Amino acid sequence: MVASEEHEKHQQIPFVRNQVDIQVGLVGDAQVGKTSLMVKYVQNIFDEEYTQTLGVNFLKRKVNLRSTDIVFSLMDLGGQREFINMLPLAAVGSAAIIFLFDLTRPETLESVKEWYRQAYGLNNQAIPILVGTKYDLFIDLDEEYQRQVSKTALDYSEVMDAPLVFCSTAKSINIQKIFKIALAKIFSLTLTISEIKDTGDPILLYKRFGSKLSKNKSSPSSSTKLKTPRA
Amino acid sequence: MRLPTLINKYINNKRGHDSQITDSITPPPMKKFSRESSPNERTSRSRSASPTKYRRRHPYQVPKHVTISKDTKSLQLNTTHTVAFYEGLSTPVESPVTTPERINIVTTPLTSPRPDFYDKELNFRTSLVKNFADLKLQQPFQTHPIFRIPEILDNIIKHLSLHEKEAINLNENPFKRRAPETYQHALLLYKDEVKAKKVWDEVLKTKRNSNFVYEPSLYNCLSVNKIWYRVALPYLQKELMFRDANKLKRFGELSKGIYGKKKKFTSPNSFTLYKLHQVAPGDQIMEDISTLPLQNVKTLQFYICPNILPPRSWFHVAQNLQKVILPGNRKINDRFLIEASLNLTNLKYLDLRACENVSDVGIVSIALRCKKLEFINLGRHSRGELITDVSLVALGKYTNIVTLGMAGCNITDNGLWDFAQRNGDNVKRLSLNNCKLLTNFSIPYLVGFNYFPNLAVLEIKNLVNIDDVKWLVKFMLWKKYSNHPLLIESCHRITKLLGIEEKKIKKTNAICALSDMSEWINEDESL
Repeated sequence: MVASEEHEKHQQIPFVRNQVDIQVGLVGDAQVGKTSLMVKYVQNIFDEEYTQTLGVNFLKRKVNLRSTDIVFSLMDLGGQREFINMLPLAAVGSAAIIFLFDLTRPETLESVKEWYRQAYGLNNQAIPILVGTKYDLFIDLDEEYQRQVSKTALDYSEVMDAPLVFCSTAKSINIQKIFKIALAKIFSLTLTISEIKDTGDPILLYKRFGSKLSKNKSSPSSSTKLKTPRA
Repeated sequence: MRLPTLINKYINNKRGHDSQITDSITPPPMKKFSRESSPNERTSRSRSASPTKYRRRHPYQVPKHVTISKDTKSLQLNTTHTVAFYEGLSTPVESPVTTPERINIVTTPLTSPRPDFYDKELNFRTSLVKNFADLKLQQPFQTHPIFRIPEILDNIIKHLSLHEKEAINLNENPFKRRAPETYQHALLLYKDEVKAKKVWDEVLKTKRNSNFVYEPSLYNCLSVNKIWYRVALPYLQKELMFRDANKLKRFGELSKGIYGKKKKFTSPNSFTLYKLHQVAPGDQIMEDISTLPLQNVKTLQFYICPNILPPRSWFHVAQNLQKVILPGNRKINDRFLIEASLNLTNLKYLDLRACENVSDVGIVSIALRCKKLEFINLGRHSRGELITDVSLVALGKYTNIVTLGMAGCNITDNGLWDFAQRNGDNVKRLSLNNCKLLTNFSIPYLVGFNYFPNLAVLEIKNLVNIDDVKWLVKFMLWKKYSNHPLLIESCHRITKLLGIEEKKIKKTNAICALSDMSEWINEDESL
């Protein structure tokens, strides 16, 4: 009868998807490849041409999982000194801040010190991640130079308690992994990707770093703060 | 409340001043009859123009004719003729100072030759008047100029009339959340001690001052002055409203004259009686006004008037009636509803709260004939057995109800399922408070299977047989997710259940999300 027809029309109300919003800030010297990392991650495009970022760029990437949508909001700050006063846009409210340096230019690693000092002053809750870029150019360089840079970078990441990743946007090396590490550190999830330690390889070190911060937080926070993982 | 009190204060001042003027007898000024006070002096006179001069005048001293000055001197000075016209006391009472519409009357002296001795005396008197011209016993009361501009005044009075309307519908505000039952309940609802405390204090306060004193201010506006009268009258007659049975009676006696002859009075848009509960059951208070011209009436409201019924003849005339609000009426029964439904083809809104003599029969006849019905409230505290599934099914079948109030009625799961299948898509507000026969098998499952896709407000206070609220919470979360949040008004017990269930669901969701995320980050991607 009517009732049975109606029954077919009415479906159980759909399952409500969880949404996890994560803001990630990208900082570092000019021309280290912040914008290209972001564009590569969100749109999977690499452009050789250099475009200077004026102020802050913003892109979103949504990852659909079975029950959950993860939305990465990437804030990319122009590397020139004059944009330092816009640092709060990238740092405040971010759950993770990625510090980038150019593997072929050691002085950019030097300035990470200053970037970190500034960003940490604004947001000491965010997970720091140290990322060396242009790995595809780096491997062509002198072996001794490679060893030196890798060692210094490791020292930095130890002081910052930050996972260390060498990546290449042009050759798509370790790009996805940066953000997976960020997510794992934010929610204290167990990550089982194997680490890469040897000099000359695209280094990927995360197990030792970035867990002090989450230990300091009260343990059940990760589940309750799920909707808004930012502190 | 600020506006009416302000205006009342103003009115009081005004009226006080007025009465003082009438009491004092001002001698007629003699100035105007002297020969010397020819047009040369007109300037000085118009400067000190005071209405008392014109108002309090002895009849024989007032020239009741129109004179055109023949004096050559005046002709030289004035190119235009000065026209004086006085009609003495036969004119209606002159308006007070503030009336800006007052015609500035300029007088010319009598020019006919007079005997000398008369002139001498006049000269003497004129000088006296001159000497004392600047002396005033009291300052004339001046209104703020804003009250003399009709457009602005119209705006003020419009808001005042809206305010009056609102005051009556105060406890009907649809955008306000229901008051919590206890402080604990408030705490559950607002999840914040400060806010809960604030809300609860407000509840206690309104409980204490529940019978607020109403100041009928729009009516008083009529007696301020002419312009106020002219502006306020249309608003007053558009919305007829009575709070006093005696005034209603008086209006009934006068109504035939008012509506018959003077075309000033048009059909009102709404007719309201407010809390006339003293009227005895046998009182034929409505008889005199049973022939009002109600062809434009859209709203008929008898708010808590237990013993007053709208006259039957009204429904024949009032073809445009859309809203009928008769809460707390003991006299309304099925017979009345059947008769009324024959003529109320445009009815959209029917409020029969606490009309305890209404039963299924009356509601079915309304449902059958009023196809445009969108709102019906049958909530009641006693005799719930008179309204059953029969009404519910009829409303579902024959109308497109948007707002349904069934509080305290004996409806069951079966009736609600039938109603939901037929009309669930239209329903936006649903009140099922105190429907003791409803169980877990109706409303929770109905929302869980999306039978009420447009529901915005759901009231489920004191449903004793409901303890499984899982689907209600799921529905609520889903509505929130799709940006059409649902408000559930419930009692302490159900609010608590909802809170527990919501926490549970959120926790499972969080665990799900975390496991999904760890799976994703460990996925092997060759990117």
